[in-house]
Amino acid sequence: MVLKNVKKLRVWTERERFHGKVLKCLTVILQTKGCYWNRCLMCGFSKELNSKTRFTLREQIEMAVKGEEFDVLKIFTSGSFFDSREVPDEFRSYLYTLLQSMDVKKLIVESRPEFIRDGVMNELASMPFEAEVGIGLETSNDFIRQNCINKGFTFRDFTEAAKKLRDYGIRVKTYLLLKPPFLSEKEAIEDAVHSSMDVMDYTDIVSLNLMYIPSNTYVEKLWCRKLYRPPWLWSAIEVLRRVRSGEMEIVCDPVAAGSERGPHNCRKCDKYVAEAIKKFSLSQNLADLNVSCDCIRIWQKIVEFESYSRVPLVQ
Amino acid sequence: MKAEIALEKRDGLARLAEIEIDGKSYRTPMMIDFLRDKFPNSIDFGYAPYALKNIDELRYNILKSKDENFLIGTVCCTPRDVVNQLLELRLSSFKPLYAPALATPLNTPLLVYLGVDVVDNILPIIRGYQGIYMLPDSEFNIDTLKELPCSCSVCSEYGIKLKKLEGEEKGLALARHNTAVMESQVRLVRELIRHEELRNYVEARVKTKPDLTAMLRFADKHDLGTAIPRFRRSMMKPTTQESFSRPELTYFFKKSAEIYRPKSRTAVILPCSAKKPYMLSRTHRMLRRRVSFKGVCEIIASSPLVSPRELELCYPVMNYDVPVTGQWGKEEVEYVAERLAALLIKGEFEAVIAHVKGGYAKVVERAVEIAGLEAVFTCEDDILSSSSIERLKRALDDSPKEGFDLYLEIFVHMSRYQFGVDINGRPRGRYPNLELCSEGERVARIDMRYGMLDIYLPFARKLLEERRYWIEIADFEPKGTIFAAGVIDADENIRPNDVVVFYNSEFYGVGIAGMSGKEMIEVKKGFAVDVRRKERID
Repeated sequence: MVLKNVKKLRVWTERERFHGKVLKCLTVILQTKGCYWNRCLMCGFSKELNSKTRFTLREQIEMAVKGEEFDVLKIFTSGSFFDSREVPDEFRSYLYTLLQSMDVKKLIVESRPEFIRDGVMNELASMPFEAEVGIGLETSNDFIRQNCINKGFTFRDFTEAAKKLRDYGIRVKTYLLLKPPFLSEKEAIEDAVHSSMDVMDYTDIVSLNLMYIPSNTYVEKLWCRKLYRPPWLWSAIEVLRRVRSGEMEIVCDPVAAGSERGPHNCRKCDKYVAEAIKKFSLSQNLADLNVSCDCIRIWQKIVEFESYSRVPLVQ
Repeated sequence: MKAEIALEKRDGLARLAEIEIDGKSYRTPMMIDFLRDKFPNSIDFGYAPYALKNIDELRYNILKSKDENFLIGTVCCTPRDVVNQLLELRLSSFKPLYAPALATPLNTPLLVYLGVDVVDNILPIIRGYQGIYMLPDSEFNIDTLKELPCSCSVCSEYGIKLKKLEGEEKGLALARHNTAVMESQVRLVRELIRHEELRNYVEARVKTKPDLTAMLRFADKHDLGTAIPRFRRSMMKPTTQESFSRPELTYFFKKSAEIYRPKSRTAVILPCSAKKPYMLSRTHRMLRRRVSFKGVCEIIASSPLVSPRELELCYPVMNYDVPVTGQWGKEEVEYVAERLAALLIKGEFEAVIAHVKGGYAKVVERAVEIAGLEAVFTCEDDILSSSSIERLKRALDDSPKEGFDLYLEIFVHMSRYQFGVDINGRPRGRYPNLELCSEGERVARIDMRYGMLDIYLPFARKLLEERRYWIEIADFEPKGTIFAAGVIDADENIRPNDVVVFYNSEFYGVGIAGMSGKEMIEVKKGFAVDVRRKERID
């Protein structure tokens, strides 16, 4: 991963699956005015506003692609790419034209479901490159999404948006969150697996996000008071294994893995277990998940008992 | 699932009880054994822990445990938080309190003291898998041990080879050992409750870990209300700093200063004795043989107790045992002096004679300073030496006196302390086995086991008239025991071990409460009153 940190603009290249092949992908975090919702318990993106660049979106993208060769462009806005307040219509048109001229094969963006509307989808669908829209569903369980995440939309909002995307021939990527606050390790695993099954008919790929603790967030407050611990990497492996066994495509990029704020096991095995997860995400080969460590027995006990303790048993 | 709890014996917030869950009976305090039991699956633990309540009450109310039978004490994380949360839950209801994944052999006595009824072996299991070998008062990493200081079935089976085991076998063996240690702690705690000895034990045990000591200190800052008895059969053994903040002691000091009404304007301060009651000790007997204390009031000072002679038969003055060294710490002097000063002020004394020496003298010096009085110190060397006695006699001669009957004053003070009403009659008997008679009938007697007054039917009628310590029961003839199911209403001031008067349309009588008045109104089952005597209403 090459990190280009130009004037606080975050850009890097990574590898991305594309119809069974692995291609070079440029990932850009565009600094917009931020997500209008801004109420999710684990979201700290808007709190980073003061570190924002003063460059326009157009300047940002120009700096990002300059001198880069890539097949896939991934744009994160920490909000909704199709919210015109965040990403103006003119910028989208400009970007589409730019990508056409660069002969890019695929564009990946993300959005909340309420912005998946006919007008913008029509425009995107008419482009020669493939498009994929990620939606942060987090869980198919409305109770958990509302009370443990505060996402502000329902599973039905998601399915409607996903159906619409696919009607336009646009690929759907569904983000699921492993271990929302207040779920035990076991409940989190079950929730992620169930959610994967529930979205199977609506999505082309599932991306499993492992909770980490961003600064100045609700979940950070819980974590500081020892009421929350990020998930074990073993839990991620369990979810990946069970979902992949059902022939679904599921990827996972464990952010901050091995740090105390990120998903972790016993510290000793974190690095190679995270590597295994990354390797599997590209290969979709279950054999890549065959890693082990003594701490797996502790994790089994945590899975068994955290549903009773409701607070982390091991940090 | 349906669970009901029936009280057998209270020791403060701790209680021995029987819980019936789905027709099966368990004795609490109990440990759920997760290596074996299955019933926790029917308990609603909720999503959010109780610890969320003070952080985000709105979300807590949506995500909390909604279990019908148990209070779920998912508390966290500092000693202060854990104590506050447990006591908040405990004082909110009489339902069984289950603290999941909180107990270890080390903290179990304290958790039970704070009112936890149900613990489990989740931490002992997990620590076992982490290689931790637990004992009642310490924890070790198994790999660091040279021998096993335990003879549970696991330790007997493996011996020191336990540390050579590997993987699952080692984890499980340690989990089983830790569980066995926990179980024996839970059995011990039940026995301590039966003997009303839990607090003495807890004070000693919290010394093994600073966090536990902190928890007990935080707990003592709380008003635990009517769960705390005023009279006990067990000895109070103040051996440590935390002894000074016992709720029983706090109550005694507050109440004794409140009800103290000495007959004389002269106070003589005397040192305590190891033998109780003080008056029967060798020193006090020798002193009284040589000096007359007629017409003056005596106050006995010790650490941590200070008591008027009038209350020396009252718990805990009658039932305590301190380490006697003659050495006084600075804080100890201040603590005792403040309480002595409270009595001197309340008594409106004009003359204070201090027949004490050493640390006691420091206490009196400080106490009269607080009270704005002056004391005459009469002790030169030994309190029984001729010169000391001479000086005491002279000081007594120069002080105002008032004629009164000490034994009657003992009854009067104890009645005021215990029932908040005055009592009258003629004392008789040999000290301390005194009784009080009036119009040829026995009214009360000193109950030396509890350090309180036991009362007879004439006084019971008076308490009923004055609506003190009353319990209204359903219409049946009370025999032996009255259960909570039979209680209709009760005085909310009643505490466990209190002498109470019960009545219905046909009978009235005297008994000893097994639970607080509030509890007997609220709960459906359990031991409420031990009947001592009764009579049919004419």
